[in-house]
Amino acid sequence: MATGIRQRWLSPISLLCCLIFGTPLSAIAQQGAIGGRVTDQSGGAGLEASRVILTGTSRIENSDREGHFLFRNVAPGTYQVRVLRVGYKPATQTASVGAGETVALDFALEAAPVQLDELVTTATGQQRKLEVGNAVTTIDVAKVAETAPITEFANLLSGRAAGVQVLKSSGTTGTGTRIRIRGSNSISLSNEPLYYLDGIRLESGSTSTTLDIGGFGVDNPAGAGPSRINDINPDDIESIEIVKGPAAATLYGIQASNGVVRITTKHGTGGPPRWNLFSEQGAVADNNTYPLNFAGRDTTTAGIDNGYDGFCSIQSELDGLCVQTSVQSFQPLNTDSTRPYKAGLRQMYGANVSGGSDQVTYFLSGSYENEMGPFRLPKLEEDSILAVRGSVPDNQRRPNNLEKFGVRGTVSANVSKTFDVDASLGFLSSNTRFIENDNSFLTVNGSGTASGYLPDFQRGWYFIPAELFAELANQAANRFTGGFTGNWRPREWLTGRATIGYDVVNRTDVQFFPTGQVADYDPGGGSNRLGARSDNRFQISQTSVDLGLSARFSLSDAVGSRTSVGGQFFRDLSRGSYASGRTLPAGSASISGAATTQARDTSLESRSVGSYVEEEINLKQRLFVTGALRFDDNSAFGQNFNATVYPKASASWLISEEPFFHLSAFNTLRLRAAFGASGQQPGTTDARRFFTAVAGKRAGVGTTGVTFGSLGNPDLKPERSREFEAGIDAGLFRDRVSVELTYYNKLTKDALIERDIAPSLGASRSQFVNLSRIKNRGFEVAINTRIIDKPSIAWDVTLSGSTTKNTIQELGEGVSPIFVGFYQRHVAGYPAGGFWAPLISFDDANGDGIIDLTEVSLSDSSVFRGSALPTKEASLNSNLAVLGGRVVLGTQFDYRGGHLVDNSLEQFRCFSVQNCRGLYDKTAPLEEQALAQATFLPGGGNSVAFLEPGWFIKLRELSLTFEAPDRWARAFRASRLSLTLAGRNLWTITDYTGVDPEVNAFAQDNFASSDFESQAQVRYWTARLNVGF
Amino acid sequence: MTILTWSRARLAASLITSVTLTAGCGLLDTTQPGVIDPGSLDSPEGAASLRLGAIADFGFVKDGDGSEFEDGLILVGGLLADEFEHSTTPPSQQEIDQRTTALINPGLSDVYRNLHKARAGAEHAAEALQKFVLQPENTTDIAEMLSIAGYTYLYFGEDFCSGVPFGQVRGDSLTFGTPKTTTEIFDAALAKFDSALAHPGLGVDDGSITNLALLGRARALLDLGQFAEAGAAAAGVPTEFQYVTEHAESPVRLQNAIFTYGQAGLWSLSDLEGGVGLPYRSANDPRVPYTDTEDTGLDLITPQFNLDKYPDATSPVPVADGIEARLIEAEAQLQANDLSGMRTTLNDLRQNAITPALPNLPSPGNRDEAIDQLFSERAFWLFATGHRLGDMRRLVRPVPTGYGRPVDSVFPTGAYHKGGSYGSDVNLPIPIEEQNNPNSQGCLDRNP
Repeated sequence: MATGIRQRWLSPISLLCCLIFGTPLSAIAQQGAIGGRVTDQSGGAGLEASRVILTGTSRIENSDREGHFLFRNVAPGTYQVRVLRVGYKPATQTASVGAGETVALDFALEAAPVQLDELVTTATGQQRKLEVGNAVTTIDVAKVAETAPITEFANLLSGRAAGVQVLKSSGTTGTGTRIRIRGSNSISLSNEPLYYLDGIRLESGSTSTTLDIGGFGVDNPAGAGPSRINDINPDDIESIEIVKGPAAATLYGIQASNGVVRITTKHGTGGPPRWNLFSEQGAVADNNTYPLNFAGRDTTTAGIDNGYDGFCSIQSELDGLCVQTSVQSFQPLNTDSTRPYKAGLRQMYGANVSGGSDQVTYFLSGSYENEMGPFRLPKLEEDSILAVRGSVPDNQRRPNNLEKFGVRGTVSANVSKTFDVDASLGFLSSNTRFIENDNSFLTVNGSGTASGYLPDFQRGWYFIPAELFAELANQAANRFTGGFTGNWRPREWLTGRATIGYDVVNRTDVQFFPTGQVADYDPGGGSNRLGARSDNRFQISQTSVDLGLSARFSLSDAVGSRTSVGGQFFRDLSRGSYASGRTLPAGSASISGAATTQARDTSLESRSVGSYVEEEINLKQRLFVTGALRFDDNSAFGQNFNATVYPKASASWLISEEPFFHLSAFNTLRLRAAFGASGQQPGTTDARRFFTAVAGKRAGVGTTGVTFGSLGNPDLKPERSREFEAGIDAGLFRDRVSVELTYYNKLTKDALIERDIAPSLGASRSQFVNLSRIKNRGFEVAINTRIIDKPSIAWDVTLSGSTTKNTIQELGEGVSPIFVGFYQRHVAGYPAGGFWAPLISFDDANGDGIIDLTEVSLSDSSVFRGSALPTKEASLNSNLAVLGGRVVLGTQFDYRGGHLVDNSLEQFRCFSVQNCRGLYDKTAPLEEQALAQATFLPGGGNSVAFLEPGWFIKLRELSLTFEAPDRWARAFRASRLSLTLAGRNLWTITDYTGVDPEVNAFAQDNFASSDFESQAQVRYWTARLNVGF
Repeated sequence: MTILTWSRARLAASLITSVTLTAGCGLLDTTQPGVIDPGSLDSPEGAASLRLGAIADFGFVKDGDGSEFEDGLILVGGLLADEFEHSTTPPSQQEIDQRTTALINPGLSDVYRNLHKARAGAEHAAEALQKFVLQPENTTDIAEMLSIAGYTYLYFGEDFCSGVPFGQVRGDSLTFGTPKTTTEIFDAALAKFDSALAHPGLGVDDGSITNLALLGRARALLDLGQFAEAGAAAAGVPTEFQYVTEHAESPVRLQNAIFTYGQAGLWSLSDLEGGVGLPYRSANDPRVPYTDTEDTGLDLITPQFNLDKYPDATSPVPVADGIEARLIEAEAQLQANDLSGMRTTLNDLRQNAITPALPNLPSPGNRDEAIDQLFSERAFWLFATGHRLGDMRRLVRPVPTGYGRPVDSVFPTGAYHKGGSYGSDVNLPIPIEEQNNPNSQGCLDRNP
């Protein structure tokens, strides 16, 4: 059976690694080998990424894309070979290996969603899922990335893990994502999870930009910036494990209270080089319909102030100020001749090779990605520019574009029988051209929807696309992520681990307004049209050191023990410089020569050290009880606060293995419960009182002085989140159905709030204090079932969902409600960042079908209207495999609800630029008229919120994969050939009247949410060809 | 078993100890170059830096900056008064123009906070200079800081409602202020100017700081309705005197926002706003020069007229000048029923303080006309210098400290140019953030 496996093959790379790591080649001699293939029992397809364990040793191999695995250099003897894979029952076979002999073992795995033997990576090392008392979600990325429409890392998390919300803020290519696990824990600090890649802590800024392209201010968490986590190429990832809350994340220390996402990249398997190539081609298109701009025309002249022509509203006419002779409407974003959209091309190419010897395995990959956003200069305007200037720059024709090139490699070397080393190295170079995206007339959305002009002037635009697209906003980033992990096994019962990691991003943000070509808009400091350029350069790095030691003992025949200790050191460093110039000579693209220039720098550093000790006791491998303590200290703590301690305890009981268990429907039933605490460190300088430099001018000369920078807080300590979770994992009906149900209850105490300081103190704006308490509780459920399981057809359906009830239990004594965004507040007793606004009531008292100002009223005060973040989410993933798995149809429906969306765009259109339908059209629904009128009531204006239910169901993913017969592949001298056609964001059901309930002009802000001139989600269609050699 | 457990305990203890020791060994030490430790300012150089910072903060809050995020007191006060109209889109700024300002208003909060910061910075600098400068009697800097602090009190009293508290931070201690009435605020301003004038350092003054303090004193007395004393204080200030806040193109924080807001189409010059505002445009008065852009502001609704008084972003803005001194003297004459003397004083300015000279004013037929004449002259001479809102409040304030005019005859009234109607504000409210002061009661009243 095991034919064609060469036993002693060393590639040049392996050889090099041997030399680097000093592997003794002589050790290879007189050994045997075990190899084979892991397949799906249903269709016989090879199963990639199966973990093949040589029990009794520390050796683990991953099967390759075709399911092959190989252990070389196996000492003669008898071994148990165990195979584990997500979604399949484990299988074990015995192999007796003689010197120079190769034993072939094939495994045909049976699908089984409940997998308690699956290995998960915890803070103390790898453990069986069974031993862990908390819910851990594992995503089998290797399969998803190849067959689903995954265009960025965040897509991998979306709809694939209960309790994980992926909130994509806009449809512009390159923009980022908010990710929340089990709700928001902190009012003032980040609610983003921690990320580890092969044990290396990652820089994961959710808004990584200084480009001023909308949003609500430079340097604020707003605007259409990228999320650094999307730097990771999904094709390089083997799996993702999501550790959801403090109960599970205790040993990760401070900053882990929002959960931890552990990413494991692909590793090599022994054997000759195996190549995999892929090519993806696709389109990115805007398929949205934008609201019409209305105008009330008054073409009469006598006795009428012509200033009302265009603004002759229902109310103006009732007041006798004008005569509405017609109502006109237009939207340049919807009209073919003016529409600034055209499907952009998405292409991605990648190749990887893996292989190795007994001593060294490797996985090397490279990829190139180019995605052109959906924006395009309208042909009419392109022709105009061509006529005047002779050419149109690429960035003006297609202003939104992303280009990435990345290489990654992992090398694993068995240095000795007791020591192996893993090296994980990656480099990424990206170049992203952004477009103004939120809260600005410089966005095509803002210029189109907030324009009062009708098509007879500027073709209906506030600023025409030619002016908007002439701006260049570009981010170039180079990122290196590297680390080494050493695993030491001096005794069978003792293992040690050390990881040193370094992740550094060098980023250059350049924004350029060519003189005379851009909109005549002054964002501060002078009109952009005079020419302006900024060039901001940042280096952001994370250094991590992780040491751990675990010892396993059998205390008796029935009782086992595992003791772990460890320590970590983390250093976060951010350094940046800002340079800008305004008023540039025509043709210049340099700050040099600008009439006015500015420069400044910034530097922030924080460090933390921590350690843990954990003890796990198991009874007959059925009941596992774990207790642990975590100790942390951090440079950001106040001078009056020392280290902090976090406890953890958990229990996992495989009750279905107990003799008394006789529920026949249950094949497997595990009860689990966990309690744990974790924290969140304050900002780097939040504890310190300090002054900052401020520029001035005196007697005609530039001066510099000092001004109050921050009040600080010497008592500042980390936030402390404690969580209890309990749940069951059940396999039902011969493991055809699995259910994971979890209840969690999380309380964050000493939550930091950025409390406004009484301005009359004359100090800084705010001060961080540990005052508030926030509670999150909810349920998570995941139901996996194989509805059909036949050799010719298999249908897997996964339904997952969660609820989250977030409540601020206490803001702190004397702390007034904290205002966030336009209508959001942090108020004790209510969800963090909930919407508050006056209620609007109306009554068409005279029955004329028109709501005038006297027929609408506002409540005296603002009342709680609803949550700003979804409180319910669910997803339905389906995979239907036919023809023995050769054709697979995949779908994902994504639901979110239980929240409101602030349609600020419509509020702005009614009150500020006065072009909404409700103002002019007497046939508009009464509610629409009432909302528009309410903004003009005394006390109306900014306090009138257009809040709408934000629920939606989206057909998020649709894919069809065709795995070509082997002979087809062989015709191309390939071992495997597959084609996937896929679409993303294909269909939406919602009651929301705005363009898209998902967008957020505050981008990745902690809480603030608003639909305001942001680019709505766009549609993707892709075709991907995979070839294996 | 016991040994095993003991070993584990020792291992854990060792690890914890090692973490503690490494933390103590400087592993957690970081450097933050942009952070200036308060202790490093306890020196003559530190005190000098505090002074320059206070001057910068004072100019920043008074005149705003080029970022378009910090409106500045002159623009915000002028928006509520009849000087400027809102020609951009943020509703929070429109509220101020429409005389319906809510307590939650980011622009208002910024001005209120930054004015306190400038006030506290000047007071701190005065203390630090007195403490650390080697010969405080040989510098005018302390009197200058006291005067700047005095002006901040004046601005609070003139533009904000009654009830503003004044606190401070010194060392580790925070002192929350208690609400002060408008009169108490003017008294506090007067005390600052008196302290400045009494400072021995003015012995080496060339007159500039003395005149700054004298004019501040005169203005405070005017606000208190002590007209004769105000005139006497102003009498010694020469007409050509000027103390300004200075601006530069770079950094943006140093730009003159009164210029940039016009250029950006955010604030438009008013004319007869709300039916009762002064004819700043239609008068075609060279003291309020402007440009008709023949376009609308950013809101696409309001015609955009740009003030040319500050022709670029580097234009300095007067804090106090000799023209104001003469105007205060003229008001003292008015209050003394010396209408002829008042007219003479005003005409002297029109003849000598501007080139080419302005025609003389007609004789006022009665006291009301004289009041109109005086306040119109003040409005045009002192346009966009942070005086108009205080003057309008004085016009509607009851006699004897004010002039008892009906509010609707002074403040813009009726239909608002972007829909709806004007509200009833005659001053700026204390923003909601002040509720974090346990002593705050918000506005004690909204009276003029």
